[in-house]
Amino acid sequence: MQKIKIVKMRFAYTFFISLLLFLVALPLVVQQPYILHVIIISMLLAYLCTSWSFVSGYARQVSLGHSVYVGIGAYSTALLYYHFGLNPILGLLAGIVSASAISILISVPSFKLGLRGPYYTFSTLALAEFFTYLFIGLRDLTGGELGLALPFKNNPFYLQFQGKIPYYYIMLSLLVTVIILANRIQNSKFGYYLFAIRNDESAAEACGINVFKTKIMASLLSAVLTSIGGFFYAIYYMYVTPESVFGLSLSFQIATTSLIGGATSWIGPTIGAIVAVPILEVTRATLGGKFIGFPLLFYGIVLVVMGRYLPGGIASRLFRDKERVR
Amino acid sequence: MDISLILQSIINGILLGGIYMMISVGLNLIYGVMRIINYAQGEFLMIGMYIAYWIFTLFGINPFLGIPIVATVLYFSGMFLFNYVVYPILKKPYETQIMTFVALIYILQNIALIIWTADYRTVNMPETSIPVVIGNVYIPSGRLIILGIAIVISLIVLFFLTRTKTGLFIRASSQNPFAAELVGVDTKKVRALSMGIGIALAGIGGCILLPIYYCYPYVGVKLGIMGFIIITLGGLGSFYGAIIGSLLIGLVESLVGALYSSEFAMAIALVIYVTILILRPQGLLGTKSR
Repeated sequence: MQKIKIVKMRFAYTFFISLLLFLVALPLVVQQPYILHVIIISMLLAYLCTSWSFVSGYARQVSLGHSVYVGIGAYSTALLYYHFGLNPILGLLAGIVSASAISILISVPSFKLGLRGPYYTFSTLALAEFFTYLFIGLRDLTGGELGLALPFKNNPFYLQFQGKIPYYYIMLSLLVTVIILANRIQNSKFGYYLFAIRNDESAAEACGINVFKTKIMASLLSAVLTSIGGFFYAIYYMYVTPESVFGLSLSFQIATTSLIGGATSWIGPTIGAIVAVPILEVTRATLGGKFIGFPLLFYGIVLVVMGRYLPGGIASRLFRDKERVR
Repeated sequence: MDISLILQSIINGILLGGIYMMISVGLNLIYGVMRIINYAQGEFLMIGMYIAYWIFTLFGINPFLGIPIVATVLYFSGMFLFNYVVYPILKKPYETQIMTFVALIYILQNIALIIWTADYRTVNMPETSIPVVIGNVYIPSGRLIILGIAIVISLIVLFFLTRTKTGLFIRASSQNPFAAELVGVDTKKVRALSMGIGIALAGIGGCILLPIYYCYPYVGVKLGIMGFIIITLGGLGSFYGAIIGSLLIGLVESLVGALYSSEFAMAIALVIYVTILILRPQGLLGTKSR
């Protein structure tokens, strides 16, 4: 048993390290902005999905409103920079603080119930919709539906760079950090608690795990990490609208991508992003504007098929096969 | 503040409640018998709206008269969906069910986008805007018809659930699926039936929404979310809870919209939702789940 686990892990580590080397070396060879852009957004998605999986994958408290934290991170950065000219780093800190506050505000009542499944999902869905409308409603502050375009000062001190390569490495380091964190969590006591909650909450409670506290901690951690992703969104695009950062389409994208890859694995969400972004981008690029709607239709069909035949995600199958071979 | 404005928005709120009723009763019916949430309920409402739009523009059939057609089409698509998509994932974990229903959202929205494009469509029915005057309050007659239809449909569903044998089976399977199976209820059939009825109800909601609202591929998103808030408010799986929750949320939304701003109606609804969650976790009429 021990040996099987080690082999399984070794395969995942090999995959991770080769992916890392590939991503570090890539900008030395490829410099087309479009390709770099696609890889940056894939990495951002992988980052957000990994953060999502802490609460929704490991502990199975599925959130369909994680865009809230992306939006909070992005808007804290954007608003402080736009209205007061503050450094984005300060915006990042403000985003982390507000994301934690919101996460506690929404998870305490929904977890306090002790009821499972849909309640947390509904709360997060409603919260995302609420923030979309709120930020559209606060027109003077946020510019309404049109959003905020941040002025470009070309000042590295404000994390503004020409070209994509600096952003590429910032995102890569964020992604690597979160993947390593995910791996550490999975092998820690906290991670075992989360997986125990995932399997059976009552049993976990009976074993002496403080289920409520553990779920709050997971949701807090996930919210903070996601808001850092939002911060990167703001400094990278320099343009935020309520629909793009708070909208449900982003939440759905985060949730489905992680589930494709396998939300219980530390590398799974990354695999999901590697698979999902090319599906969407390639179909979008080849079918183009003439066949609007087809990429997402295709994506939806892939999801239905995956849900039926591969519910644990690609990672589970990939690593389990390795297990079987031994 | 003008008293007639308040009366007017109360009536609009009850009307909105009627449309929410169609969504949330369907959701609760589906949740009741198989403990899954149809996250794509709002999208089925959108499909119902488009079918009603089609039969209005192609054949000139009034959306109100088109209700049986739309309900039949959606009933059978619900059955189909149950057999080929939902049944295989019934025993799968919660996140897989979510993935499948989110996928259905993608599929339905994009089918609508492909067939009907992203344009806002609306039917022109001048006869529905003739006002009925009661005192100072003007109610377009179409809205009264809509309200009447919502009430009649809810009564039919109630009658069906409480007075027929199939309704008894549905209630039995929602109380305890295992015991229902033991005494000879074909739970698979009952579940397929409930899925069909639940989705047909959403389609009827679409039919009665069409004369007073625009139709576009993303129309169901907000209505669906309101449906989730309502069934949590009223208690998951409770028929009367869904009705009371719908009226409550409809009234709040319409009053806040009239008195302050419609963008904050959602915010107030969420505040009510969180308050109820804290005070009465199982919902207004829900029973405590184990």
